[in-house]
Amino acid sequence: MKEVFLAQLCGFWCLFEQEVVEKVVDQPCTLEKKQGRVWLREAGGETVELCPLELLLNWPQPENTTPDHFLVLRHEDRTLALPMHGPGRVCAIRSDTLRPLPAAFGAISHQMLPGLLVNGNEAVMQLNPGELIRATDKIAYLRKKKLLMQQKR
Amino acid sequence: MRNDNAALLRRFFLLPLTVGQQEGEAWGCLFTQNQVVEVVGHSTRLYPVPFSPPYLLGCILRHDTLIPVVDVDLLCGGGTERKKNAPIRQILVIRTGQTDAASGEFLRLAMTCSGNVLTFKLTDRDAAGPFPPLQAPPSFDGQGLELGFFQVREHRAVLMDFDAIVLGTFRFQAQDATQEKKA
Repeated sequence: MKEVFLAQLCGFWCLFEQEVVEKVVDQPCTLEKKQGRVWLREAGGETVELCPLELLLNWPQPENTTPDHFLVLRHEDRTLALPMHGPGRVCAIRSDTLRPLPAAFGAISHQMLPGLLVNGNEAVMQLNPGELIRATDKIAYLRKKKLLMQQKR
Repeated sequence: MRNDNAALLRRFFLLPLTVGQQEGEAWGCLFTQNQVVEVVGHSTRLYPVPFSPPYLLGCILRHDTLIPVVDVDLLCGGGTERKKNAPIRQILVIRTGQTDAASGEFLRLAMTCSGNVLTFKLTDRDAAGPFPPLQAPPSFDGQGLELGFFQVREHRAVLMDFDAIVLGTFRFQAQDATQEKKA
């Protein structure tokens, strides 16, 4: 058995291994944009980079819902905040219950979504925090490049 | 009185496509009753998979099985005619010719339909053919998955082989999508 953290992101339940979960932020935060990245500033002054989940995964935010919590993940020496609805919860699962994506999906999808947990008539998606950070870096690079091009004009 | 012909009727399913609409033709992708597992409604939850190609909308969960969802219309080059974000009305779950190595079960795909899936029956004799072959509509681009184009009764039908998709060996050429973006 292993402990995982369940979080509702853009209306979908997702799971992360408990080791990568740094904390859950529930107090009001401010957003700051800098160098193509969006930063979340907590009430205590700490800043964490915010993951543009809707842009990155193309998961639109469901109607009548707004993220009221942020899940802060830690992967190697980087942290990333994900907007989520509700505080999430910890639960234990058997390691062999995670299923891979069907073979129809490509390697990139498999890397980002290494497994799914089927719970009755619902699927919980496991997201790879390392891949989320890599993809966020790529978006920041493209945004920065666009800003530089706009400045040159 | 028992209808002796009832056992000899075979049901076919036709998933409407938007290709050919510019030429005033109504085409559909043909499936046999042996291929079709079930027809599910639009309320089935679709789980979008990150970084999947445009024709793979995600996956659904049916009877404890994760099934990839395919936009057949987009696969056939109908993307430019199809209304963007057209709601999915029905999903046709089919079994392919490939089997899962572990369980031996036929691998499945779910085909989305923004219209209504048509069904019709043919007798065993009629189903054996031959069916008059047709020319593909100019806007059709099946990416090499098409097996043939036929006239089946009053319907224009295309037969396609989706095994490469379910195995993950299919490579989508997004030329139409690129042209759409440029337009």
